[in-house]
Amino acid sequence: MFWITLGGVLITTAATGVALGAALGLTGLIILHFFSNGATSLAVDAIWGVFNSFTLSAVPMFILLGEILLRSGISERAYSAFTPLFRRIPGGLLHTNIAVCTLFGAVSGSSLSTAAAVGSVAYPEMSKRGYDKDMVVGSLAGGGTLGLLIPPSLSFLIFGALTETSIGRLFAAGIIPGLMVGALFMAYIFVRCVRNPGLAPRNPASPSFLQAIAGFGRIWPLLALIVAVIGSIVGGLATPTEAAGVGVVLAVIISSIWGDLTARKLVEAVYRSALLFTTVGFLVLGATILAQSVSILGIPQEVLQTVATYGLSAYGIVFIVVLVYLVLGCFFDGLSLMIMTLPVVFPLLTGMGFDPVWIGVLITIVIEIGQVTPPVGLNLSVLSALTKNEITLGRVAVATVPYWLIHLVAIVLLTLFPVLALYLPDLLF
Amino acid sequence: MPFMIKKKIEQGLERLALAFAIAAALAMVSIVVIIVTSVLMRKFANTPIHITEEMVGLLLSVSLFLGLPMVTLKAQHVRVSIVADQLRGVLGFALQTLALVAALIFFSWLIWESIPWLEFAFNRSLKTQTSRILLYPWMAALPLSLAVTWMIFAARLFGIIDRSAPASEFDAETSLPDAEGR
Repeated sequence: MFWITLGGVLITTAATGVALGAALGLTGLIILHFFSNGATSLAVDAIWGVFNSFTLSAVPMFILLGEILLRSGISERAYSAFTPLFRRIPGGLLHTNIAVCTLFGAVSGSSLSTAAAVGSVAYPEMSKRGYDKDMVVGSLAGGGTLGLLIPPSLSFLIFGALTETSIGRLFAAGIIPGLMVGALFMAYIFVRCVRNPGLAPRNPASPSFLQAIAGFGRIWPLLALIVAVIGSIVGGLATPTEAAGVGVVLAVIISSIWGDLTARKLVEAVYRSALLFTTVGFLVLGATILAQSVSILGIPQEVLQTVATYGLSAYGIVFIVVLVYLVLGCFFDGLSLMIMTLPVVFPLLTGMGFDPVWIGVLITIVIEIGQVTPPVGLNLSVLSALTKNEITLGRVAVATVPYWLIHLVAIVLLTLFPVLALYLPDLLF
Repeated sequence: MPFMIKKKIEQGLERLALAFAIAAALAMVSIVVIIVTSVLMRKFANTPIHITEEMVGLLLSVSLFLGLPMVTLKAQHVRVSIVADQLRGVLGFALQTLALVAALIFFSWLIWESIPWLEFAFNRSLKTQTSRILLYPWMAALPLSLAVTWMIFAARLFGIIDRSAPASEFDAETSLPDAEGR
């Protein structure tokens, strides 16, 4: 009866197109009312408890940091800095897309912002130069997903705050898998462009190595900021909130001197960040009520016992969890999916003996796949919109399939070699 | 409903939402100021500010709650639009009505629960553990913003605010480039 109520109410309300946070919260309230003797008053206490959190305050700070940098014109600067570096390699600017997305991932923390910011600069330029448009949007949609894996990542911040896992360890854990996925993307582009050079026209004027390196002189303040913010967290010098707060002030100073940040743009960034945080926060609010209702009934433990009676191995459970995420990723955006499933999935996987940090990285990669899975994949929509629907959503989705598969390969590698995620956190903490 | 009254209600809700959103943005700026001051004091004066964690927590809650009316007004909530986007005409209108009713039930329920919760804190003058900050003025942001958000949903249900598009008049001032594509 519980599962019918949970699934029925959640699917029915969410399908109406109501705010997902309200659908989650309403489901939670109904469960609390009918299955927990009307204990709905717990909902408000749970909300207040979750949001009165110093750890969670890193989320709006990183959103603000990213918004300030995005408004200071760094997309163009970063793009032109990376452009000479890959000119000689088959694939050329397609590699630049991946590299700049990786850099942006270290700034914005959001998959969608990364795809939108890099795409708005790259797509017109590469179309003009005769690159295959499907390859361009594919690389941008795929590259955009790196925003969630490369620290600082909104996914890790929310995962850490909701599961009380060290955010410093999570950030450190995301570095190697993030770079690995980026490298696999580049390897795929390289192979495709070697086999079919028409996909990416070669530029006859190749710059010297020194010229290529000199381009980085234009973005060194940004690189220094990223290293300072992430380094201070990973190095244990500051909490994520402190690092992000100080990072915001440094970003304002750097962007005012070196970028195009004006007072108006700064006000816009603050205002927009407040609303963006509310958008994410309302999801967390709804999921908090649902999590409260689920945990008070001991559902995660029940699921764990049921799984134990079926005698499934730990890896069998991981396989099922990944499969469920892939299916749900067709209908929910990544962060929403993570927030609403964590109350059951996290205790289930930790109960099977998996490391919480490893689970955080695994879930982040799986929800990255959701970002490029039609029909809801938000990266696909934003890129189709960027091309003014010249490339339809379906075409972007097809172009992104190889990147989708590479993410699956990354999940297999991460499962076979957990050390990929755990090496740096174990080394640094 | 006469056009003038409808317009007045729409403008009133827009102004209220804008005022709340500005307060939410100011709360966010305050978080930055408190954190940076605290870090500087700790590193250079060796005197950490003891109210930092509790103040930041309170400001974070307030920032989230106060941003809610504007996010609702501009229809920026994350939602599953796969079914809703496919339906047009009467069916689309019916589904939209159902969505608004579901939102109204949720917000009504939460307002109902939050009033005794606030009353409890007010009657006992509850304070934070370390810095002894009085809690109810901060807690009041929850029912207040829920009530304004409820009104926006109700206005949309009854056609006072356009159902499909974000409120237009204040968009020139408040609508900003949407990097998230929402």
